[in-house]
Amino acid sequence: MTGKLTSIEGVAVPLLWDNVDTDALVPAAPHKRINGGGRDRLHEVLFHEFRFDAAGHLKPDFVLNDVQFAEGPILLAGENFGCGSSREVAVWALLDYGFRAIIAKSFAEIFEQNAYKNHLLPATVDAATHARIVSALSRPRPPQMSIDLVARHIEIDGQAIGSFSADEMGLEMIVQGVDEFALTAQYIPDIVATQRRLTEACPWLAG
Amino acid sequence: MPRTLFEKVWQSHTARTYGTRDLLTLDRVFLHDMTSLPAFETLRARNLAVADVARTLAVIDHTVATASGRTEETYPVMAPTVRAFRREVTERGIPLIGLGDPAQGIVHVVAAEQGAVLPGMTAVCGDSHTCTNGALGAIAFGIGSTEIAHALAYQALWLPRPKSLRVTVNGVLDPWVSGKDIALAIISRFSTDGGTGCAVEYAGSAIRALSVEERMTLCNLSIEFGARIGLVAPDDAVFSYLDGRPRTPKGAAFDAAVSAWRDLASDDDAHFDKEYAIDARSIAPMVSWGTSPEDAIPIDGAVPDPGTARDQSQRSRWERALVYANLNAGKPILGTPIDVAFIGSCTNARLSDLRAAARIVDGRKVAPAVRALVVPGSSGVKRQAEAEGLDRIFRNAGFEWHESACSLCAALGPDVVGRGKRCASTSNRNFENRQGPGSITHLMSPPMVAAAAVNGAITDVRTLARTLA
Repeated sequence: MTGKLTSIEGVAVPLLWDNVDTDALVPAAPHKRINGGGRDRLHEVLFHEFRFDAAGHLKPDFVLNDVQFAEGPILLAGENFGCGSSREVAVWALLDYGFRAIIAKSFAEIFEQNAYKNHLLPATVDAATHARIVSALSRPRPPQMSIDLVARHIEIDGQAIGSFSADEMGLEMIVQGVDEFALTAQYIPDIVATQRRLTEACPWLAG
Repeated sequence: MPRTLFEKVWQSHTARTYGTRDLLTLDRVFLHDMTSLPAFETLRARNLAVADVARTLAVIDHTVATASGRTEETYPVMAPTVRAFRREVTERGIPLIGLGDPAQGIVHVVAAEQGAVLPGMTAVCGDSHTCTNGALGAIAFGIGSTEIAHALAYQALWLPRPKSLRVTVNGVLDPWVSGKDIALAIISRFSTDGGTGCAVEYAGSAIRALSVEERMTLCNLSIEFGARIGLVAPDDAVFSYLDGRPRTPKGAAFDAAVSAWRDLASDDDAHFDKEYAIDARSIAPMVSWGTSPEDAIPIDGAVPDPGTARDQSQRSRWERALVYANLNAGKPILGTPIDVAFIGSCTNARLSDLRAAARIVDGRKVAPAVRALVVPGSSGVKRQAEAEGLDRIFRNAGFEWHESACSLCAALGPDVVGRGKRCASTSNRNFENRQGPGSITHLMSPPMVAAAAVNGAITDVRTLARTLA
């Protein structure tokens, strides 16, 4: 887990498809091939079927294979990013590739929660802000984007573009560099009391 | 204050609130071989133990072979994962249903068969289709591996409180239209993120008329509708489904449970944040054409023309889907040749699914160039199907008859469709490469897959059913 994170700066990679699913992010076949390898090999499988053809050669028309976008660390997506499976490798692969933030019009729920837990920022923007970012990214040289996590604000080449929304607790975990395990540990008595109340009324809930 | 089914279960399980999140206590944590190992790593790294093994159940299903006589070693690629999973759960004292166990099967099918999920419970598993057992009136949902670790350690999770959405389906379904078709109709009409952020309750006369197993199919597909949670109010059909199952309360305890479960249904005047409705009589057998579950059309429909898309992003997605699926816009989906027919998965491989497909297959043959396979949802389903002679009907027609696992639904084991091959599938996702690299998936109900297998092409099951009658 990283330390505090208050801003993310760099190139934004436009992948404006809607419904980018978890099988697109981490397809089963290459994931199985590196099974047993650590998380530091997951960059190899991210978007594997879009980056490589069946013979393993790079597909030149896929945005991640465009050298000017090779560095990330921000991915600009469309709607419903991360739909599908609960596989957390989808988030780990994005992080291992070098992404620190995904900006989208909306996210699938399980992916979004997995992202927070790994301090990958899922930033939701409205349609107007999204359109302004898309138009700025169509410049000949990819502009520098800056995301202020505290002010929830996005700038491109120093110009204000708009704000993003994020889950309060999830964003706080990213900014503070913490996770909810320590928080939960303080509330064990509440959990135990709730379970006791439930099993007294409904004994079948116990194992 | 009137409350929904979802609110009754959620509120009773909330231990604490923090901003927009609730700390929800969990009655059951289910584990399987694909997503659990990172959770055990997290527990080790944090020096945390499993809080309550009695509320935890592990099943092996995702990464294993389905050939007759298979073991954990049959698929060498994933065998180390399966072995490590078995070792982890065994060392921690977590009950395990592994290969060779008569109760083995796909985790969500097994959980219901064992009576391990009951009405009014909260249950989680590291699989997005955990929502399947919302059909029993439980809040059941999929989680990531870090959440699995948290759930094991604390028997609770911090969750954003979902909005409530009711989808009402009134009217009588036509023959050969099933829970699968209702789900695909809902998703195609209201889009694959129409339920995002919501707990969906399915209600209405058509839902009440569904068998419990069809409700499981419907709730299973909630995640393809964007919703992590899908539920149906528990009723007599659910209570009789659960009666006598291994982990269901017995005797007077069962009667007491049933009387509590009767109070779970949404109150008549309960408020839902969103309401959708669909007329059961408007639903035909459905088939997907593209690469999202929302790309579904009635069997007599045409592959859509991107020129009719609602906006530029849908148009470009449709264009990519048409290229991937190798289909022409505007052409009927009927008659599209298939290479593979798959009856399996947590969506549609229960006994009633196999029975419905067998009615179409009985006395017929699988088309010559088609590979057709049945992978029962559980070993129990397989045994019962064999006792009824369904396996002979499928085998005589040319179907392969497999051991239970996730198989071609997720292609995490050895079973794959093949590059450029087209599969009529009872599973839940038609994503690109989902059934193996280059696979093309058409989602449909079990009888529709059976009809496609027999004709070698996408078929309206009702045309075969008529000759049957």
